[in-house]
Amino acid sequence: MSSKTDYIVQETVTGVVPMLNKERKYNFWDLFLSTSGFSIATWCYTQGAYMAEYLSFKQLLINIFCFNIIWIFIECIPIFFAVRYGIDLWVWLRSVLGIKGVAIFATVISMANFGWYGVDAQLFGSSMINLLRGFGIDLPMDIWKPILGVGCVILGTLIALGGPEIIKWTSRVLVTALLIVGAVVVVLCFTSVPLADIAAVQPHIEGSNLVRFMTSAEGSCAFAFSWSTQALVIPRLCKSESKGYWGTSLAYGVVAPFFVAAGGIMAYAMFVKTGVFESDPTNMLATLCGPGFSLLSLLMVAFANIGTQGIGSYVNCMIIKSGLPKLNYKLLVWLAAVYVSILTIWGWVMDSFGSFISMAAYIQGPIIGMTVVDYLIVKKRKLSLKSAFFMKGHDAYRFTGGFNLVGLSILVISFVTCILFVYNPLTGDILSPVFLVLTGSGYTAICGGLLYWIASLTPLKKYMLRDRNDLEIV
Amino acid sequence: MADKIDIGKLIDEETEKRLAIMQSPDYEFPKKAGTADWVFICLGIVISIILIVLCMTGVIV
Repeated sequence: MSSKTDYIVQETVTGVVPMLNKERKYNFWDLFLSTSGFSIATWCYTQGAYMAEYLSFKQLLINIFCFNIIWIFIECIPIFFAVRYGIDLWVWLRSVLGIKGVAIFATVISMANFGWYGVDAQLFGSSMINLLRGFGIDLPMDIWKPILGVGCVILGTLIALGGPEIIKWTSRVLVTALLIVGAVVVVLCFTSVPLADIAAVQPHIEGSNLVRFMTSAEGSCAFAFSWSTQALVIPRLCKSESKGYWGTSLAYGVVAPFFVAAGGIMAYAMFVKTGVFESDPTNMLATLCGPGFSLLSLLMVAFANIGTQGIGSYVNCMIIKSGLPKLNYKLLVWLAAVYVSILTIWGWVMDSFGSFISMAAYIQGPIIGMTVVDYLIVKKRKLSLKSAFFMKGHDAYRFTGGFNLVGLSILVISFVTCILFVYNPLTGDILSPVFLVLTGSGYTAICGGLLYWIASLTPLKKYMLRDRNDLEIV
Repeated sequence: MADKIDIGKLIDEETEKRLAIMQSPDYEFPKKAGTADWVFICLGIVISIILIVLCMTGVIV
């Protein structure tokens, strides 16, 4: 009996069984710190340093914060239902993509999301090697980078195996320290190089103001979109809709961009001091603030990346479980560890980072657009929970053989038209002036949402809204 | 012992039980978001759009 009870608890916390109001353990700060811990990783600095080459200081700050705030604030709106019903985004998506559609896309998107953690582990490995070099220990990059990267994956896996309670307490201590470190880093950069010198740095990349600004904006939008499918998993643990929304959106929309901006500011400061744009935070801090500062960067890089691995593994395994609920969570976490380790050793994602994040964003964009439109306009915040959980006699979301052909067609149309006619991230070609207004990623979200709304005004409405006579829990 | 549990059946039974609790008129849902939340969301988005347009048009360089 006790093992049955234990299993139910496990399936509630690390599974897809709806979480009841009285079981919620996260308040605003728990959610804010856990999500911040998830979002802070070395790739923030890499992204900031990359954008600094395209923009002036003022434009950099506006580009990073404003695009992230817009898209995060929008894509997090469905958190209100996640908190209300104690479910995650992917349970709702069964009504947009169909039950089998979710099983396939949840797995595909998680496999793509895990690419980020391969990058995270690789950056951990290279940062550690650079740091040890500062202490006189010279390790060969080719051999030790993958070994240290896999070490990062294993430590993150141990956190993920502990579930939300371990994540909560790890985050409370570590993230508070990391936020303080981040603030100190920015202050030290400004004291190391005068603000006037940083503000005077001109964009390194040539091109018109608009093209440079929107090319960087593509990176900002893709960065914001990358959280979308993962953002609505943890809020189900929260006690109120408002706390759930702000705990998540402030972490992704303000804290993560703050660390991207810190990476950009460090890159400017490095350029002023050495004439070279640098993206490795360990090197930047050692040069700007002296070798003694290396210990602080060790703390920052090591714990941030391990924390990200842990929470990322939990979140993405939960996404897969949303599509395939009967899989064992712990087994899934270990399989994810093996998969991310292979990606870390292979290194392809890191080598094709820009293309990778844009391509992933092109799948996530239409899902964001459709989810928000579906929640606010089409389904008007009402879902048939019994159909979403395949209860006997409730088949509204089985659609056509388990696939919602309308939702899936819109996803494909948005993805394909963007690559063919708006912006191709693989070649970097701008194919339409639309890119200079919306960016490629922004286009996919707006196109997905718009087409979904238009479809709901046609006779397809009957197909899309089969659940209106089955709304028993509202 | 855990191996003897029919995982699928257990998940379905527990989900059904919980949905029945949520359907009951006595069930108290978490506190809803208020007008202030929507005002802050809209405000954040509008201010961001204005700043972006100023950068795109070259007013802020």
